[in-house]
Amino acid sequence: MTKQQITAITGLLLLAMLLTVLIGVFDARRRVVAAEGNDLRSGQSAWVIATIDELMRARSAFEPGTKVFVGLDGDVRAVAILSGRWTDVPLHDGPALTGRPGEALAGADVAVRGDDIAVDGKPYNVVGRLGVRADSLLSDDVVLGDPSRFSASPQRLLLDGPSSVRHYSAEFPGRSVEIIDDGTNRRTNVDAVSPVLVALGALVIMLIAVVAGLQAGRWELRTAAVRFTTGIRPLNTLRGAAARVAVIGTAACTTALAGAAVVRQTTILDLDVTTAVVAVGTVVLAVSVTSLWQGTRRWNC
Amino acid sequence: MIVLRDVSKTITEPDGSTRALFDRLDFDLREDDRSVAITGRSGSGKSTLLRILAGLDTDFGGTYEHDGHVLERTARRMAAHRLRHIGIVTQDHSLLGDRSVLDNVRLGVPARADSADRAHDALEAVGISHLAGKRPRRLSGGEAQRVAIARAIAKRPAVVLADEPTGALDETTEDDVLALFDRLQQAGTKFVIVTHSERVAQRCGRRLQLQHEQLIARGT
Amino acid sequence: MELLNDLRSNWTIIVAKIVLLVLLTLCWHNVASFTQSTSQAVAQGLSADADVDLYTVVDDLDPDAFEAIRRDQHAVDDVASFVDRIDDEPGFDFISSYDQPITVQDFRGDDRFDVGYGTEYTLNGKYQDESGRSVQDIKSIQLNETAYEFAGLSVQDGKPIEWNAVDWGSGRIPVLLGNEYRGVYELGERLTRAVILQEQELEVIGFLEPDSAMYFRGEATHYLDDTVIVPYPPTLGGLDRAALDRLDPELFGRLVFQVLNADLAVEHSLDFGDVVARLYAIGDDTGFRSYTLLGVPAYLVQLSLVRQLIQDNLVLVTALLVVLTAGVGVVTAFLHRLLHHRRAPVARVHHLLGRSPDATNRLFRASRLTEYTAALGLFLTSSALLPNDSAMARLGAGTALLLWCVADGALGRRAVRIELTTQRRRGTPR
Repeated sequence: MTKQQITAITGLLLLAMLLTVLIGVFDARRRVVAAEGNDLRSGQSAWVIATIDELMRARSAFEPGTKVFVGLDGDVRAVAILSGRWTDVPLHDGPALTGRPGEALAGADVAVRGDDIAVDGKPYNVVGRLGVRADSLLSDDVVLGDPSRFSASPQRLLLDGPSSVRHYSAEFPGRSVEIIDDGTNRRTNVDAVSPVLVALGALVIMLIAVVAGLQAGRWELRTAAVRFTTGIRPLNTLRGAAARVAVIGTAACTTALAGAAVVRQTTILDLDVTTAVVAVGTVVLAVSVTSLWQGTRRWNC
Repeated sequence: MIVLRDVSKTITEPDGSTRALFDRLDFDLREDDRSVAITGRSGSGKSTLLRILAGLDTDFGGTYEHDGHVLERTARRMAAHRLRHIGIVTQDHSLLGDRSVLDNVRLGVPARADSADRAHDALEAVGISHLAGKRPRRLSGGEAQRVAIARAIAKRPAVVLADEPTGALDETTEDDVLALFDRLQQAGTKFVIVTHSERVAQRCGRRLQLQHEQLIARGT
Repeated sequence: MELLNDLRSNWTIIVAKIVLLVLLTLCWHNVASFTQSTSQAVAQGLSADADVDLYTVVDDLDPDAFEAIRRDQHAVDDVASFVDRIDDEPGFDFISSYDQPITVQDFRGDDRFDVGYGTEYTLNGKYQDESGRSVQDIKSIQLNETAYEFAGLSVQDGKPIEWNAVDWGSGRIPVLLGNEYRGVYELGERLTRAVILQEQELEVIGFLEPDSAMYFRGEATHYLDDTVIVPYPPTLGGLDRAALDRLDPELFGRLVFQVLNADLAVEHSLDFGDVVARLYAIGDDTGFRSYTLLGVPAYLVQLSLVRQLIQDNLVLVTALLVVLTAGVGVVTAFLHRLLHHRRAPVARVHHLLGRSPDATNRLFRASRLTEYTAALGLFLTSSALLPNDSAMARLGAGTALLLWCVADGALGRRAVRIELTTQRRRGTPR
């Protein structure tokens, strides 16, 4: 490929990567806001009667992001993470719970002395402030990252996480489960914007990757055809072309991942676009190699 | 029949410079002509001259006369002239792969009730009526060129302009095509053939050479 | 004939273009309509012509301060003025309603009318009061005229309430009964009831339509079939205080604070800041400032929150839309080029055979029209099926799509014109 052609392919890839990061940011923010509206629930929640110990013993059955809450006094509750990390926490300041003992999250209206609050005489370090904004539904809430707050005997717990109801029922068959429906969204179908934006964005990203791959393959094929007439074997040409596209793809992926890291540093969002970015780079490489290979097959060599 | 007078044309080269292609060039296709060959070096403007004769290129100085009338040099007017009086055969056949041979030939006949019959007749005249239902990609080079010729003559034009019609053909096939040209000329169709092939040029009744922006008569 | 040939040869490219364009247009439509639709959804539980934002006004007095004001007649008058001023404020609809149960002597109905039936209250049924009379606490809604109209309530039998004639000082209040009261009480009957702890005679003047419902305290559909509707007086400042005080010296105070804690429906043109400013001015004029303006109830807050997501993150959404549009532009440009690449030989042959350039361009007009009509039709159908359907947004997005199609068609025609007027030189292909 000429310099202009390489620039064109790189430009296409960077456009795709920019879209990927933007959509990732948008989606992360949307999930966080949804969690705030649903009182920190992810939408797949249920009331169960269990002990924290037995849930912890069965933790491997739950998907990453599954957690369990117990209501304490008023707006105070404790949380125990069963699997993975709790990522979609609406925060306007500070990080989410890291898992270290003695941590808490508190809303903006909760009186905090320095960085500490006391609940039932026990001190907790407030690491993050709840709510996407200071003035939010969670401004009076406190969440303690303290499994010792759970009772040793069975109690009513709120289980929340991906497919949590299904996994719980499989692990503890016959036990009662009060499923909490996502009332708000069901009643009003609140967010009709995001799914279409995200779906279209994903489709466009893949199409741009395919277009970039096809175009790269087509340009490389022209060069390959000439090289073939001079005696260079198609396989060698293919390797060279694949390497060039791989370099461009890697550069674009690295740029995207660096951009995502900057977003993570400058916002409270837990942004992870690695899979999507790598997928885009892979699609470009695969399509370009395939189209080049298909082209060379017609030379009957 | 067709007369070009004082035709001048300059072209812009890829490097931005301009070059005179024709300088007050004259051409006439006479009533008693059966075929005229136009030869010349590569880049001398043979194909461009043919495009001007076909009315595909209207960007030139000078006049275009048909049967004594000066034609208005607009794309629309020249297209109408081409539709009625001129058939064209290009080197690459210009057949459409998305339709059959018969439908390709029918394209050459202005919309009329008997266009299918005319197309069949044209295919018959060039000896490939058995290929009517086939798709162009299944034809050999010689067969494809015959289809292009059939399309050019389907509307029974007075003049057929052919640009390197045998350029991509082997000698035997070339002879077949030239023999076909002879038969059509006998039936009254006049041919203007752009060629760099000596064999083709010698088969024509008159021979002109593009040289120094002018057309010069050559012996045949 | 060229339409069929063109569609047969190029349908995959044409369909891909249509799908991309329709999806993009739906995005434009969704973002444009959502900011409108949240307000509509918020007011859905109110009357059919409600198109407003909802707030709740409550007093922020602690129990001691509350008692102190109730005992101070001037302070109570200030609260009454405050309430009346809000009700009169242009652009505001003061929807005051409260579900204080009423205690009825010798109640003839069964337990389904009891305040504890199907609610979080305890079902006591009939019991003896201090005087030894048989009484029962039954469901009731006290409301003002605005709340009644906002709910779109109507009377099936009897006559509607004459709001201006409602006089709590007279000791007799006209009431409407829910439809299930038919056969329990008749029109014209008078019942002795205690309303806001004050004994009143209530005259049944009508029965509501069956399945009457109203928005009440966050519940979009609060049914009234088993409820007694008690009208508030038209104004608080205009009440005959002497008459009220004769009945019960503390009735006015209790009434004023009950009426104060209400919902406020505000025209769209006023945002939260405007509402706060106006209430502040009213508070200054009347001398009552111990109120809080709350955001709307929980599920409505989420609507506002997501709307806030759009508004607060408008920059992000706009950037996303712009980049998305650019992305779709890139892909459709590629598809456009591919389509032209496949159409160009057809155009060249037709031109070669004697079609004028304009006529040659028209060869693909039917295909283009089919493509654009399909895209517009698909968009209009899909957008109408969306929950956030908005005529304005559809018009805007549809117009943008139309302009895109016009540009696409113009570019296509230009490409064909260039194709026909450019002489292809033999040699290295571009």
